[in-house]
Amino acid sequence: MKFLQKFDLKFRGLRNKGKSPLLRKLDLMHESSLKQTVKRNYSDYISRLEAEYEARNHRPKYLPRSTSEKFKYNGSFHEAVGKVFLVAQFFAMMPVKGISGPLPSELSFAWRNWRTLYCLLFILSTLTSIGFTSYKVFNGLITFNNIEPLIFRGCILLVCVNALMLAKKWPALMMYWYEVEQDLPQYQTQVEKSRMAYTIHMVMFVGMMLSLAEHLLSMISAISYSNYCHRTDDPIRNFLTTINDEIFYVFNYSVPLAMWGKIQNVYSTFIWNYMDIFVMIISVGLAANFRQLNDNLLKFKGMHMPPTYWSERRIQYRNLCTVCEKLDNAISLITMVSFSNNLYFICVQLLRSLNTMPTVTHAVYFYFSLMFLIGRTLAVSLYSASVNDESRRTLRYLRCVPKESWCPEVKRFTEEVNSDFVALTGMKFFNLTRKLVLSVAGTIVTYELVLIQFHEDTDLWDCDQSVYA
Amino acid sequence: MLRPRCRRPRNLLERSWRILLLELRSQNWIKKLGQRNERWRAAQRYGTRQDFSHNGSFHEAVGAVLVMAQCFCVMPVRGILASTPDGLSFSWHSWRTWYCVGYMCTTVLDTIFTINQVVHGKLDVRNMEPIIFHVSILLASVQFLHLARKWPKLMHQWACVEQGLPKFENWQQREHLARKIHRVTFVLMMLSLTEHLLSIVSAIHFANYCPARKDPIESYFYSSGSQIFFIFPYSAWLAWLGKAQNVLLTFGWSFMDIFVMIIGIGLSELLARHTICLKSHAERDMSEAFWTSTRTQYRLIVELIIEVDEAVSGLIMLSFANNLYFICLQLLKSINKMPSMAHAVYFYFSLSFLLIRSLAVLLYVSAVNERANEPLGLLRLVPAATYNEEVARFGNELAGEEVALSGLRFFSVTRKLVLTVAGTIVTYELVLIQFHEDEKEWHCGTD
Repeated sequence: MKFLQKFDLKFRGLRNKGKSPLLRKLDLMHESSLKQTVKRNYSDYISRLEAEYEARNHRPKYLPRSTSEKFKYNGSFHEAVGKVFLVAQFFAMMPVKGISGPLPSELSFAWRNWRTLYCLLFILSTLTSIGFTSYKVFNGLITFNNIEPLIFRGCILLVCVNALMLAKKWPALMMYWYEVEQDLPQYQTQVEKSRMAYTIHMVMFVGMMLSLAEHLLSMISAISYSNYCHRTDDPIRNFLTTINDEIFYVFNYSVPLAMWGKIQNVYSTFIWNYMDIFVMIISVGLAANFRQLNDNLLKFKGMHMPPTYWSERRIQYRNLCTVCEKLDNAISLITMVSFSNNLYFICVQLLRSLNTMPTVTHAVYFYFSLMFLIGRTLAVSLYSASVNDESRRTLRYLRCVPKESWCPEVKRFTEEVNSDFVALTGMKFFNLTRKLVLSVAGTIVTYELVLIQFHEDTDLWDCDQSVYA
Repeated sequence: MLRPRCRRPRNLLERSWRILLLELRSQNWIKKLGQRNERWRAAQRYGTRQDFSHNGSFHEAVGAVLVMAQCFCVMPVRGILASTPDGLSFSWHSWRTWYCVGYMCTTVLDTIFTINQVVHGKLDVRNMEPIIFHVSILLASVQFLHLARKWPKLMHQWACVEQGLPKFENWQQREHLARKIHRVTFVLMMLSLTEHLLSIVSAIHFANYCPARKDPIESYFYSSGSQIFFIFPYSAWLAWLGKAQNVLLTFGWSFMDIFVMIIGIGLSELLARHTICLKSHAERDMSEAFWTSTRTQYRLIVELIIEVDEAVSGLIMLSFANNLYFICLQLLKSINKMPSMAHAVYFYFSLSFLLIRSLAVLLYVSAVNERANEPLGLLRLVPAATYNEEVARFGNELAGEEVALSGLRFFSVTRKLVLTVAGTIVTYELVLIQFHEDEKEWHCGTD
């Protein structure tokens, strides 16, 4: 190989023949710096790869000592939402691997994973349950009130299937979102960084606790009903027959079937609440990102900033808009189901409020569940509208740009913000803005007033009719 | 044993020391008394021309109205009569705040009594009326307390915006805002007072027809504070307290609307002043600097409107919802046969008062939106020679945003809202009529 080097030197000599010594020296310098840069980049790349490999293969010790690093947030949505999705996975939603990892690059989806199989199993079980329910409903009288269980289960099936579809897209989506988030102007303090995670955890916690309370109350009211009607001597059997009446409409009583029915019921109730919470969480995340950008703009409000600053912010805003659009395409079915479901259930519950309550237990359960439903609907609407609110707030800061730093880049940014409409939608049928709240309320009142005219007081304390709720 | 201070002084030194202390203290006291006297005398001087002329600021114009409001336990801010907004402050330890919080406590009690009474009867759209009345006023007073905390800062910002606007030319312009606000307040307060008196007359009439007690005055109090005497036996003290509470509530109910109107008037006046200045200059050759300053001024006003909206939008929402409900209810009641002349007069007066008040609120508040759109028309008149980047930016900004007060940002108050609300009322009314049964108003309680 030595002769090759010599050859090279000779060639170099030939190449440099016509050049001045200064130029020759410059050439040399250029070449060496080029080599150095390549080498540095290469070693950087290798070390980063190794670090990532290390992180992936690093097996956690059992009960390791906690460090403060563990409780620090980097402010990304993926990190904030990890625990929430972990809870959801217990209830057969969002079968994505690596959900609680620190980086979204560890996310993956596979059909041959136990989570996915679990999810598929639940979908199958829901389908069976729907079969029983529709058999019972279609054999009886079909009214606005009686198809409630069918709609309830239908919604859950739709959401489950859609969540499975979403799980397939989730890793890529999160990767993209994470990159956009990293590009945003970062917060300085831990308090600001952990704000989004805190909100998301609070939403999840409060929502889940209320829904748990609602479920327990519903069980109590079912128990009191079944005890009143007691068909057999066994109180547990009475209770299980009451809540699974659609199964025992077909089959005779058996304990495994009853247990399956109860578990299915618990899971369905969770998912029914979770779809609203999911929409809320996504909107909290998006709104927090827009706020992150807005906070930066607020910090420099009315100051002279260079055009590069504005072009940076514009690109960040554009990226956020893209994230919003992508997410909206992914979850808009869930949003749609959540809104229409809430609308239907509020109408049904309001209609039922005209009935006389047979006992205090019923009354407490009923009014609690009605309040919970209305509160949840309002919370979903307001949280999802906050995305639109935050995205519009940018315009306020752009209006205050002083004349001296007004440049084509700012103008373009202003025009884009002004003409774009950034919001989550319900399958593009409606935009989730604050104005929607009033129109939904108006719709509910109108429907209610019409429905009241057809209402007949039903005796809830009638043992032949098994409407226990 | 318990009076160690009063033991006899033991020696001469101590005795003289005590006398000295006493003397010092009394001197101090006398000095303070003198100062207080001086201050009192200074306050009692003859009025000068200065006292009756206005400087045209919103803070000054709204001062008298807020004093009246404070008598009725809302808006506990200190220094509302100060010459500049810098004198304003809010403190939890002020007697006004305590007064206001006390009023809120009694309102909560009254609301609980009312709910208790209504729940024992039949629940209906009509029977809900006292609950809605009480709860909305309670919410309004909470909102006012919240607003009072923000008020000094808000007024300070308002004053800053006012300073940037072109100066007034004469005293008429200067006192225009104050006169307008006082006039609106006076008229509405008088109407509300009349309405309240008429309601008293009709209640007395009713109380005389089916007396609950032997004494006519007692039976009136008994019927007006029925939610209290639903629980407690009749006593004169409670009756007077109930009546006072009732008067305060009625004031709060009207003041909610009046306050919203005043805010609307103040903001639209700011925009109008800005527009007048623009009107005289738009068609002339103005420099780019003029347009920059105009745009900046407009921006400041819009920022102020957004801040004010954040502070009062809860009140706007309450006021609108309240008016909507009461108009629906009163229209529904108008189908009933009136038992007596006094009732009929009261009823139609109160219905028309309600309608007029709601319309006035809507029009005054939507004037902000109307005024905010005016500069756009003037910008179209700018001659080609002076059209520059700043004018273009101003025009784009005006065309691209909706400046209006809003009800919790659920709806923005524009003129178009009037028809929407009217349509809503008619729709609900048509549906409600179908459930309506003629209610006997002239029956005496339980029978």
